[in-house]
Amino acid sequence: MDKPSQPDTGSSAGNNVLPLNGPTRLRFWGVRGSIPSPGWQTARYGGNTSCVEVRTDGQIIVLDAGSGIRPLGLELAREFGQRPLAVTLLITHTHWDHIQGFPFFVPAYQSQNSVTILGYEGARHGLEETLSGQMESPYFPIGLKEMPGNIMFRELKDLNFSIGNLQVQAAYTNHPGVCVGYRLQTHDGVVTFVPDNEHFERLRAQPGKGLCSSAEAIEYARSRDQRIAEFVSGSDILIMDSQYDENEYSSHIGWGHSCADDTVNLAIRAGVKHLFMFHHDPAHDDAKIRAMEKHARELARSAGSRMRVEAAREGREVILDGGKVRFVRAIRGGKERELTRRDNA
Amino acid sequence: MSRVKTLVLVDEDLEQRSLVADWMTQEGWRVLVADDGERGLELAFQNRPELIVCDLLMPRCNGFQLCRMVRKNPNLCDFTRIIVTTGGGYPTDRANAIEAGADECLVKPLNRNHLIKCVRQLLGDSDTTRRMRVEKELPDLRDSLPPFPPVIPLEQAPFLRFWGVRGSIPTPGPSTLKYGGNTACIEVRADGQIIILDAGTGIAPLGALLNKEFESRPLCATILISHTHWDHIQGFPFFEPAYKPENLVRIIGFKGAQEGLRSTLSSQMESPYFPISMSELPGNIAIVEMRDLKFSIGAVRVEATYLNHPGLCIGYRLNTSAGSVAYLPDNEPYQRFKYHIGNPGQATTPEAIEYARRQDQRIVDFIQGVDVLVIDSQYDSIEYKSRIGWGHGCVDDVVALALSAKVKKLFLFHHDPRHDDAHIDSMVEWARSFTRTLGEDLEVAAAQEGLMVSLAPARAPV
Repeated sequence: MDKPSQPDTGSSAGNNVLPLNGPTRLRFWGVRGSIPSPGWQTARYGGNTSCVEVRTDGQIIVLDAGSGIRPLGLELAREFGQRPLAVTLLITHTHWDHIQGFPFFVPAYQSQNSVTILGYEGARHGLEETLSGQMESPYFPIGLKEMPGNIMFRELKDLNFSIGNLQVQAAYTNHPGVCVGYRLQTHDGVVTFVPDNEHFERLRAQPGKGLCSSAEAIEYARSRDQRIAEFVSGSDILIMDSQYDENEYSSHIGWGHSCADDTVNLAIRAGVKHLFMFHHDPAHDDAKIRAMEKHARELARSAGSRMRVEAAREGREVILDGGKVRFVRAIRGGKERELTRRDNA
Repeated sequence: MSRVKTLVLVDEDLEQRSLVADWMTQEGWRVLVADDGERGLELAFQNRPELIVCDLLMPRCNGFQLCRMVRKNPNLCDFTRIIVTTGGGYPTDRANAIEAGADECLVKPLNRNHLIKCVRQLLGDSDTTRRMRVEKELPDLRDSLPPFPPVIPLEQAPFLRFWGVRGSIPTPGPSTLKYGGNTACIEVRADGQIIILDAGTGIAPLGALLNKEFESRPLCATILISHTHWDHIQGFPFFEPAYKPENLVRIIGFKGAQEGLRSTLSSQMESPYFPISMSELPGNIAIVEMRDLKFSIGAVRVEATYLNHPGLCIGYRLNTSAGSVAYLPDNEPYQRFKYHIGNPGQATTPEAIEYARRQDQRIVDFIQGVDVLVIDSQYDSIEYKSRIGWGHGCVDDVVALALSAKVKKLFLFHHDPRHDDAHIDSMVEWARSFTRTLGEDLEVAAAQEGLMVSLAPARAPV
């Protein structure tokens, strides 16, 4: 169908800033949905909104620009110093929790850097218009045009494209407005990011929501979910919306988010190797997220699946090396050590 | 039937596409199909169809884009009807599709009778009906200023509580646990009123607590907005009491530099940014744009003044029966700003210097003798040197200002997102030693999330 195409970057996106052969590294900088939630009660899993850094195939890719992109920017500025830095931001959609950190992304204020922002035209406005809208004067003191870094917007058309050597696929997810998920085909395996998605069948099976829930409608919903399952199928790492537990979901039908049970089932069906539950509810404290993680693991176990399940956690770094997933913690002096089961507990 | 009508049918989903194609062919239509948005547009431009049926989410040009392109084309804009179809059925998607130029939005899977009825209705319409319907669907917001009855017992001990103390952007994480990472929000309870200063992210946990406290009892709260930079309004969509119809939430502020308060607040809840729009909130929300700089909330007398900050920013002084509170969340002292060498707006003439001095004196008069002053002290004096003109104050200036206005208790506020707890501790230490050196007894502390300050000076702290 669609031929993979290089977005008409014409810029330094696609130029390699990292060695090509290193292992693929992921780091969670923001795992929360809706609104940042600082405080003691979220200190373990973190309170910043959606942002995941992926280093692979010579590229630094940033998935979403929620408030987690602020500390990421500080870290990149420290690491690169005066050396020019090229990063590619993939934006899933323009709800606040996915763009609100961008005005605080320090590398965009340094003229030697280039920042390429890729995404799709939204329900009401183009990508650039929406991102610069959040920096207009009623809201923010500095305009996007005043940022000295080289900032390029590329509104995507094709659902298949590449960034340098890296093949990327996008798919629409079920969420109000225009929202996509991204599938990165790295040389170490597949990383898929679906931060916001509501399970169709569950949405449609609810009576009294003004939607017809005929057998036909349910069948249709099932086929939509199947599309998502195909999109994430065989992912080595899947990062996916699991905002609610089953009970909470019943009072949040139609809000565009999934309950953890549906996400786990879908991931199992799709043959995912490692699932990260993502887009934690701002009202969930660490104990609640831990309990949801435990429940999700039990679900997978009782389904006879060998899929690993984790709640995404801010600051956590994951290495995908030839299809094998390892957790690491950076320690002083640039060294790192692999985390054991005890660190995870 | 004069001539055969043409339908351009655009959908990636083969099954739905062939169903609709069959139905419409049986109805006597010429049906042209496309499986992506770009091809669909091409067919529309070439064939000038009476009707386009397209999905919202398609490769190479989504349904919203397609609607906009058709409405921009002079040949099609008043001629072609568009029915968009969506799998999700979200109300905002419907509203946005209609705003983008669709005539109708149907939820998939489509029903034959329903679709045909809808097509007949649309093609019988005159050209003006679409515009009329769009107008009808625009939100109807209430404007009147309601009375201010007391909502908490008058004998409840008055207090002030910090819910968000951070400036610029929320900063979760282990390094900000002591002072807190939420953006600007302060709760003041006095004289039977609940007054909330600004709606940064701190208003989200405040809302959760109010919901718990009031349960099903109706709640009235007044939110005073200093200005509409993100860190002062971003929590509002997450203020739970606004979603309960029995509550009354009044938002008071002043007209911004470019747009009215209502349009600025509601556009943060517009669909590119937020899934629920302001008009969908069931709570009774009244937005009041003030003109007078003096007004009352029940027995609390409020004074407002303009601060020195980009755009338009207001400071508030609440005079309650239990003492006074002044809130100046974003402010850069004028004289500092104007004396700075190399600053484009640098004051060089004696008149300009005198003007800057008078502006600062106005702030001194405004906060004169307050019991509690909460004020922007984002930077230390070294940091400030490289941030002159950014609209924020430094700790040294703030202490000097508080001393000259005979303030009793000073809270440093609008903490820089880069400042960790240890740095804020050191700024407080510096401010205290500065005060001691001058031989004054001003009480200084850093605003801290969760901290409650009693407003009855005679009584013990709550």
